Amino acid sequence: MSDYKAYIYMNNAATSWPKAPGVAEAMAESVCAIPGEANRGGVEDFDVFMEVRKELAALMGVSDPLQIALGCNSTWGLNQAIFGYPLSKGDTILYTKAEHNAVLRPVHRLMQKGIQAVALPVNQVGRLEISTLRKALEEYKPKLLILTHASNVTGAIQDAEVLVKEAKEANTAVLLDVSQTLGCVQVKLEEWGVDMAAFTGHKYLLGPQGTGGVYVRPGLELIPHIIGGTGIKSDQKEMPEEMPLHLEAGTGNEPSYHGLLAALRWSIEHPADAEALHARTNRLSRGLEELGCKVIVPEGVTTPVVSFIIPGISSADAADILTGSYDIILRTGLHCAPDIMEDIQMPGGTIRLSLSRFTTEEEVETVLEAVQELVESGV
Amino acid sequence: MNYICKKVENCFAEARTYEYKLPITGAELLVYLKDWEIRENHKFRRPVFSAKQGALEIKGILASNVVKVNYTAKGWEEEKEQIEAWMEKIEVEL
Repeated sequence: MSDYKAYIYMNNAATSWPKAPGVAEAMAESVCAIPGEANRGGVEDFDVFMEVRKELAALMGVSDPLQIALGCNSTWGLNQAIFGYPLSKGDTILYTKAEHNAVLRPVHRLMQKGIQAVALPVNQVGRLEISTLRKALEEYKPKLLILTHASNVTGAIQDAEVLVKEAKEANTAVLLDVSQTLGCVQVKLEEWGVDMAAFTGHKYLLGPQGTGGVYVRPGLELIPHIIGGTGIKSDQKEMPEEMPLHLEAGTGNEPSYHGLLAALRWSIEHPADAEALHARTNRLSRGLEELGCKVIVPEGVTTPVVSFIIPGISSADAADILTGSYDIILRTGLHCAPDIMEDIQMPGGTIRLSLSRFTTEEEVETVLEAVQELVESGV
Repeated sequence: MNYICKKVENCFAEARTYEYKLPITGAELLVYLKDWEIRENHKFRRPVFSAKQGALEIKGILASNVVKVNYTAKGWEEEKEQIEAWMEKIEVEL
């Protein structure tokens, strides 16, 4: 795969591509430069991690950048939060059926340790209804709610403000997974009252793989899940108590964070045209429906994700042809979110096309033409 | 003929699809699949083929030298051994 321009990339909900201009150069420069000071830098030291924290804090609506711990991706952040949140045997937590395996598998592990975990059903487009949450909060009196801000399968964005408020009023802490939304829609963690949030740099932030982490609200102390060197306070047996070092053991991915910083700053200077992206996503959904595909079309705010199946054609066959014959990069199957499939009535999984701000109208039309030829052929 | 084989994973733990990189194209492979149920589709930008024998399926792009083989659930390991032995017996002129 050397002539990248020949490809139509529609797998941005997994990993965005292309990256923001300047990302590759920033990473290359970092690899060639003398490495950073591992938390020991003086006044003239350029601390890329701190610079990234500041940009992320502004983006996530967080006052104190030091409450953001940086690791390698959302999975890292979710694991830190799920295993680090103080829970005891017999406690109950809630999570939704729209969650990714980055939540489902840690939750499964918690269940093996005696934590009761209750899966909340979502509606046909993947949203958690407020009535469902309210009922569960009353019934289970949970310690924690884990909620994805948007389904990576359907693109439906949850009304996080309302759902978090409801949980907080019931004294339930909230872990919000903003992997699919940060860089795509507005996120206001403090204003919404979110206790913890996991994010990644390699999706709509347009940064490189290997970046991501967790926000923890001030006053909430997680039990560090990964323990090791921090470059400072090496004479202590335990991890430093202060954030973010409390959760940041080991050498950070400096080149990738230089890349993420470049992406974040580029995005500030070049805000995405959300309306145009929504229009292209909408055109794709409607076009697929007109071709006879079964498409999940959530009303309201969505990420640029379109999930569908082609009646009579297996998703695997369709994907093979769309990629092999038309150079369309997409994803099929369960999308690491197996529990949602029953609720959205797609038990065998879906074909997912996920756009980015760089997706063109021409690419959308080309995809529709390819699907039309597929549908007409009957394969 | 020699080939390079790699398992192609998907979302399911029971995935049994393997890719084979061959010294010949899919179209050239079809010559050796005379008793299989062959379907070709030339409407696509890059024409494709599928060859079926029962539940066993070989498919790919006609002009490409990478083909996929979907092995059936029951007895798939034996089936895979047979297909690979058959491929190894094919003599191709390079």
